[in-house]
Amino acid sequence: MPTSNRHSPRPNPARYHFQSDPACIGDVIADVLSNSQLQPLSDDDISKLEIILAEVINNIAEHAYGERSDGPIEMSADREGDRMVLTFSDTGIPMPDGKSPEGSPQNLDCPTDELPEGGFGWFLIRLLCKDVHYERLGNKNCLALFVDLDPRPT
Amino acid sequence: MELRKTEYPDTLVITVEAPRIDAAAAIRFKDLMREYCASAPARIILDLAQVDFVDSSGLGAIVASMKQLSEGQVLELATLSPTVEKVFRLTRMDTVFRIHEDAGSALQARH
Repeated sequence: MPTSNRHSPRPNPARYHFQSDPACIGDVIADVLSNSQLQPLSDDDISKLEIILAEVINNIAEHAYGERSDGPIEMSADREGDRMVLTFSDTGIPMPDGKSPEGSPQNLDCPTDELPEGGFGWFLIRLLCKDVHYERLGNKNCLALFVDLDPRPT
Repeated sequence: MELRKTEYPDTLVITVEAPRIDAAAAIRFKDLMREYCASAPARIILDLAQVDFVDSSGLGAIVASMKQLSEGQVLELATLSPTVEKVFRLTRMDTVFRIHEDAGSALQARH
């Protein structure tokens, strides 16, 4: 659990500020994954984080901001040993029923023309994150994700 | 986002010339796939050799491309990067598509 102890020698979390523009999401993700503060990341960590970041930011752009491309998004990434804490906040509309979606697996046992073309985002986020916390604070959606990483080489 | 077509006697190979199929590229991808598949032979191979990343919008666009094929056409995939392979595996879409190591082995494989 995060503590109120702010005297640790750990550097501050890496912080990012950007807009809900799908054309920029790839660059934001590349920036986060190459941040020296968060290294070393294994290939597996990188693909996991890339999927999580893309799905969360897409969801904010598409659902919270209803495809507006100028909605502000604040994000932080903080590595604590073998765990990454990612936080996201936006001022878009709240998540349905004030809860983060369950992300149930899709049924693929159906004729081709009935295969799902969406609804994979939250399924992937829940599968790849150890823990998910969502809160609506004032006019903000606040999402915190806890991701297990491969152990750092000693 | 560009797609390149290479025609073989009974197969069309479509190579994605972009590093990502994501929310920003999904609509254009789907439109180009519709156009290229309309006149394609029965077998279509989508070669993802240049693609590092596919998000759920991109995955949806690939599924949509399969759904918009004419009767008798099939869409198979080739050259998935480790991250792309992971997205297909986790969503179980690897059970829906026939996936080949690369375009060369896809062309050699029997239908």
